[in-house]
Amino acid sequence: MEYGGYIANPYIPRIYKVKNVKRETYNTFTLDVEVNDFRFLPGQFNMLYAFGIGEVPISISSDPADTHIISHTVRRVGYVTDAICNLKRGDSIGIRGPFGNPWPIDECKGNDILIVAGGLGLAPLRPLIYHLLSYRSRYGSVELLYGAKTPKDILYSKEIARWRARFDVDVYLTVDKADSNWFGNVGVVTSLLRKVHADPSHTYVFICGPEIMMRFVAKGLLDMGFRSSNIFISMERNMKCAIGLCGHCQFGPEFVCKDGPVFNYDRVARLLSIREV
Amino acid sequence: MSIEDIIRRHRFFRDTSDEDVMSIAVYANEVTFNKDELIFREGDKADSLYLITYGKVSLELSTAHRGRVIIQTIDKDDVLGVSWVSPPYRWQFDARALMLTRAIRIDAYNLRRLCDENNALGYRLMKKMIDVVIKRMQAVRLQLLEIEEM
Repeated sequence: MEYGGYIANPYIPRIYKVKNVKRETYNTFTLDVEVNDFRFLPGQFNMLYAFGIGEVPISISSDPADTHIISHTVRRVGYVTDAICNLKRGDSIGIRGPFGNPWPIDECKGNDILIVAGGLGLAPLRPLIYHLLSYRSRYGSVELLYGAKTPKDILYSKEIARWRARFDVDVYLTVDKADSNWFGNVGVVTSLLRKVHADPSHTYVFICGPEIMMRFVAKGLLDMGFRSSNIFISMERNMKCAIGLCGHCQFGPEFVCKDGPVFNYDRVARLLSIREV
Repeated sequence: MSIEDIIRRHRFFRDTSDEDVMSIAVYANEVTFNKDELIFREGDKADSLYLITYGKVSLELSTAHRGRVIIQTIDKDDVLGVSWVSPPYRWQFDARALMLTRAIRIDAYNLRRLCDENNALGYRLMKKMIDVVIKRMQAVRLQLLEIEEM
């Protein structure tokens, strides 16, 4: 069994084969990697190593119930991600992980669930959505609000269509910019908050996206009566060692790799509004 | 359902007194727009306040090289049209129904006159309009920041 808590040496990447590469948008790709009984929890991340180039932290975006294929959705933003996005089926990739604090899937049982994602932020939330749908009867209402830059930037569009077709999940989409071929919502993801039907006092909220978006979403939810103790966000920082030693990802007193990437909003709300943390 | 009831149920007027609703309803009528129908055009006289009760409307800007660009969508329980509030009372964008859309149209000329005659009602209405304008301005600022980050 491979599990984050039982990694023999967390600095040594294990080598796996790329099973499939799927283009999600013009600059974003999902890599499926063949693994052997690899277990992780929704919200955790891996360090992906492109041989000879470098290593980057990437959230796991696949179904946690599948222990033989794990997926990572990667956007081309630099040399390492560029190399990872150029990998082909059968190529090798180094992986360390899984690392980090997951979404609190047990704590939120019996409550309504609200998921708010912006852009690539849907990737770390996808394993959570898979989990919620697999154990749907354990939760109250499930709602997903997703905002992307343009209709072409929407991730996992086929899956979103399947989720929308279910009678037990409400999915709302919006984009920041659109042409006349788009018949959906245009506006920021906060504009979708008033569509939410969840009971504010019995709802767990999971947010991932640009930091500025997470701040405004959390603020909007607090104004609506949601409890800050039930709001969780996934942070992104420059993780290097991934085990809380090197300090690259330090965020005030927190290490994003070890204490996060999933944080309770109560714990980081003050830090989010401090300049130069 | 009477037009007063529809106005009273709309989010924009939900906490408004019966007296104010009755005064405003005199200048209101129900309107329906088919999919793709232009509701108003940039530069035309801003003569209405619309309370959307069903459907979805896009605010658009037409440009020579990019065609129609959708700036924002407005749907059920939203207010369409803020340009009637201040001179020169001209629409700043095109508004188009993205699907069959129903709304309450309130005549803006008479609404402005009502606000001038009944300053207390005018103040209450302007506070509501300012709230709409502030929320849209904040959304645009966030939209600009998000576009950079996402």
